Amino acid sequence: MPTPDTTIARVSEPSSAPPEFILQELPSFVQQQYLGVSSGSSIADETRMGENMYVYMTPASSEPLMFFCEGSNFDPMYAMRSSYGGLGYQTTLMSAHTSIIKSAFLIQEWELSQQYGELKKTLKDLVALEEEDDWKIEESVYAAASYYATELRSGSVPAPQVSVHGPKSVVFNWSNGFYNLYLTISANRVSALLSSPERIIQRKEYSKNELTSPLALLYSGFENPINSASHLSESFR
Amino acid sequence: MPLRPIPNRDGLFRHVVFPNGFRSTKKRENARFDYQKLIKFYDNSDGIHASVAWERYLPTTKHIHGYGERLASRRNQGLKNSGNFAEQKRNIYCGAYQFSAQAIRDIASNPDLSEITLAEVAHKVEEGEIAHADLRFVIDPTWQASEGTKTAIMDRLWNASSGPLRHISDCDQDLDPHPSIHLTTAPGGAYSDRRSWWVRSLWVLRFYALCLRAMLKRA
Repeated sequence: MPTPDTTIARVSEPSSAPPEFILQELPSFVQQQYLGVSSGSSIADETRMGENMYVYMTPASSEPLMFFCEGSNFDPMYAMRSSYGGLGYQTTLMSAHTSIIKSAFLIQEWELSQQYGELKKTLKDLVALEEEDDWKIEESVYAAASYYATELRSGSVPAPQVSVHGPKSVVFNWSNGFYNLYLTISANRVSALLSSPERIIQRKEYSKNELTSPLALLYSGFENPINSASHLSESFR
Repeated sequence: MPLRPIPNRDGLFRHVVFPNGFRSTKKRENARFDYQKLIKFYDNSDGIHASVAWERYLPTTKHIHGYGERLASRRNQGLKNSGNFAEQKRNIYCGAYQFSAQAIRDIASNPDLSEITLAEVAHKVEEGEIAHADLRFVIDPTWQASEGTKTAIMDRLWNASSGPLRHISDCDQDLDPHPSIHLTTAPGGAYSDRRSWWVRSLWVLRFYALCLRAMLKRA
């Protein structure tokens, strides 16, 4: 059964998934319960999961909730976070990108400072490369990336890995070894991408003015799980 | 001359040459492989381009690594010619990752990448390399976030990759540690040659026949 630690649910994902999250191996005493839209439990996020979201609860209250999604729109992007408090196990659901960020939240302040020090140094190195270097970034990209790095640092978000495609963008990447969250930052736009090895889970595009803080994206603006890029492109053109 | 499309079932290789596929490259010993830098995209008026190598003209592991060694050697020569060569930053061939031509074309049919109107890979000899192939992604001209599209392409290609086929060239035997130790296993798992023995044999024979023909032409 799930432990009190934060765990990513990987139902129907490749064999790296912990066996307790595989549908076929659910214990027989697990009771299926469909949560309606108006459910007001600690899993209030269910309204964002669409009609194919099912939550499986064990009759014994000492056990944390198990959950997974079913149907053609199955989306393994939600994680279960369990903690033990005065009321026993308290379980909340969070989306994968939030989990990617939050699972590393226990890092110390000094470590965070060190990480962002290195990140800023990397950005400075990239903008200082010689003109003919393929990996040199433009000043405007450097300014945008530095701004977002400062915002992320102020929100105590673990520093991302930095990569570049060329002069016009910087890519910030967080990974938990399974899911990847990318922010592609160019001078005037930010593209967010959440993916698993199987597929792209979600994409969003923002103009510079639409996304003033990346924290808003990481914690609230990137929730709706099954949006196609075609839909997004309509929204942001 | 029209480029010859590469059949879906055929394999493609992307060679990793230090420092390009790595981050933190100021000191070679601190460098780490970065799959997001596996492919360098080039913006052209007709789309986003990148280079790969076609397995059909690299029929054995020896040929695959020969291509990578020549690539590193050409880059080092270029740096020497421009006076920018530095031993610490010399280009070092580390190995190759594989994916299929089908994986490229699947990108254009991915509903989450609807801005990509064409994803093609075609045979295009370049710098004397018969195995060179050209990747081309055409993006809807009204789409304003092509940099984000590159990230998505790279993400999908990496997840469709297998390998690496690591290699240490004779000229790099002195390096300790050799940067190839930092290559990470791709999500598709270790490289395995999926060709049947007769296809492999046919490709080897054809490759040497082409070499012989080229030699006779030169003579």
